[in-house]
Amino acid sequence: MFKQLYFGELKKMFSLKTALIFFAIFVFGFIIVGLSFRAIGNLVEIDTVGMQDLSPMQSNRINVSEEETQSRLSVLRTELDRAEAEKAEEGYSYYLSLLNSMDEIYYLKSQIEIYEYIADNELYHTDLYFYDTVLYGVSSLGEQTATPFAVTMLGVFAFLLSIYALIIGSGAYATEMRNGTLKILLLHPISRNQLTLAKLLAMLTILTGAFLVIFICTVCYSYLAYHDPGYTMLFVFNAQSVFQAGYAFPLLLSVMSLLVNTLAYGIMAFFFGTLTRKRVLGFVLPYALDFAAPLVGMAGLSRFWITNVIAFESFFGVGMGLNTGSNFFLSLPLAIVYFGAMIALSFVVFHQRDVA
Amino acid sequence: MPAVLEVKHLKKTYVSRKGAGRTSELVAVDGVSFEINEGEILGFIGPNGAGKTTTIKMITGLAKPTEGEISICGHSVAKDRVRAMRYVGGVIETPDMYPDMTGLTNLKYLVTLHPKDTMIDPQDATLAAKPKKELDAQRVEDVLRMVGLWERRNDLVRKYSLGMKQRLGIAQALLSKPKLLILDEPANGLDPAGIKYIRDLLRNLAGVYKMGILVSSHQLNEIQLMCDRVLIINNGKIISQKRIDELSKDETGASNIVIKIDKPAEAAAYVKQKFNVNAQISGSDLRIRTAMDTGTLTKELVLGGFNVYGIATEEVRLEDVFIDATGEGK
Repeated sequence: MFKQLYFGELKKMFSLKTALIFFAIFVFGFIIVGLSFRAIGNLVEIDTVGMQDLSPMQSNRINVSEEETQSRLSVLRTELDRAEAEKAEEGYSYYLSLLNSMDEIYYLKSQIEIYEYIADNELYHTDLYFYDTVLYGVSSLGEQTATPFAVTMLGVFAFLLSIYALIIGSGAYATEMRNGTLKILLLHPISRNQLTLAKLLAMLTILTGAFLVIFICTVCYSYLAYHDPGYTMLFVFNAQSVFQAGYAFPLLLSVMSLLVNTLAYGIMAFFFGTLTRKRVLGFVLPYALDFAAPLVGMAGLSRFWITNVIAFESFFGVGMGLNTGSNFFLSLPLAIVYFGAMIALSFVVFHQRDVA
Repeated sequence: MPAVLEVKHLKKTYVSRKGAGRTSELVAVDGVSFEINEGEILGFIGPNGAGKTTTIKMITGLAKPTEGEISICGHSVAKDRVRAMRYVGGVIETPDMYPDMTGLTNLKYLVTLHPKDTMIDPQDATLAAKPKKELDAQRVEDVLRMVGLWERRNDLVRKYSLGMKQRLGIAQALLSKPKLLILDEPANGLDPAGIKYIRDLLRNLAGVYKMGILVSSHQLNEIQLMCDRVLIINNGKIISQKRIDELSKDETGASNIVIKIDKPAEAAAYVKQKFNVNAQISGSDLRIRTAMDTGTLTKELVLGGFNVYGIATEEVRLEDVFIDATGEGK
């Protein structure tokens, strides 16, 4: 019986139209952002970038002669060969070894790119400015295009997935209540708890599926564009940290944290939609919690706030940085308690409620 | 005849908070008791807000009673709702279905939620051996044909007219071959031919399949034509319970009999003297209120030397009984 219930919910919740619209937005965004970065990369002239508004902490200046450039290049290339040999030996555990340390290959490649650019354009004895290791303009050429591209895309993924999660989650019960179909459903020999469980599982399945589709598309794109799915996946999913701090972090963990975020938003929407019986509230309240985070931060309680404890990527260096006093071993139990309570309350609320 | 539904002392109180710890209580249903037997159609009528829908919601487990017990085919709704719901099919308030699915896919989905053993006759071994999918498909086709929607099965429900939705709702309710069928305003939105069709269908279901059927409606003439018994509820209480064929009788069993007779004044005196009942005269008609049946009365009058041209029990419309009982329209 539960199997039928689950597949029924899956069918009802998954609207091909909505999914296709989201996928179209995703592909469209991917192409537009990708093309524009490529275009910018070709357009931006190195001397037009200058210092702009970079802070001294973030900027670096290079002023080298031809000899210095060549010797630097040969050293960097030797180092790169060694690092790549090490990486080939370690396989994907290489990424795990990067926790809280610099991604050497990325750093070396970007340095080589900078010096090659200098050599190609004979920019000797000229002041050149950098944003971390990535030179503006230069960074847009070749492989480094992935970095700003990925920063933008990461934001788009997270946003698209959270919106999708809110749409699916908030409608789970609220739509059936509005349509009146819940009355019909409850006239069947199924228990209310089973129904809630089926809806919850169907929602999580759909969201995981949506996440996987986007993830696989990203990997394929990375492979086609940069010929190395592993390396460029790191760019795409860890880009923000790579960009901001010059750090790179375990691939799997940051990918998982995006999935956790998506599911968490789904659960919040499910809970609020069931509690208030209004789909619009199921959609809005999770974002309201998110927007309230800075206010809570003013009270110094940031690390306990529900939308902060699920930001697992911050523990792996991705994202906007750690909340004061927060750590993984505080956030994990808090997240389990918060979302466990939301799930449990959804069951209790629906089980006790009179269906109007 | 065994009862398919037994309702005992059902009570529902809504408590609403008015702030500052003050609460107000609204008793929606107050001590309602009744039962429905196999093969019986019970009409459930009452003014708006009388507690009809609340009662139906409690019977189907959508709302929890404050007090009282409900059992369907011997299974308590409070203790084992899932078991009790095996024997129930119904449409509550409005025939709502998934609007973005077709009539056929709606039923195909809902039929999967019924366990196999409610769909088949346990004695029929050939049916029991068939896979559930096959039985389901057959049942969906059967009920769609039964309500006359088979031709329109592939249309989206959002494009259905109210009458078609009503038919689909009834088809949905019949999927599991329920012992108890609960219908809220089944004639709503149906055209006259559709109303007759559904009425005949329900009579057939009650007669042939021995379903107990609870019909709540405001269309009193429809209830009168369709039901065996009627329950009038007002302000949460059952104020009257009558068999339809005894509508014209009052508590003592008396009903109005209208007689066309040649000498009405003399006949009135004769009746008064013989049976001690008062008769009213209007033209050539004599109107008597008595528990006697028409045959005996005719014989007595003929023996008394009168010419009886016609005799009939005055027909009482449910509408009058209803307005009388609820005090509406005064």
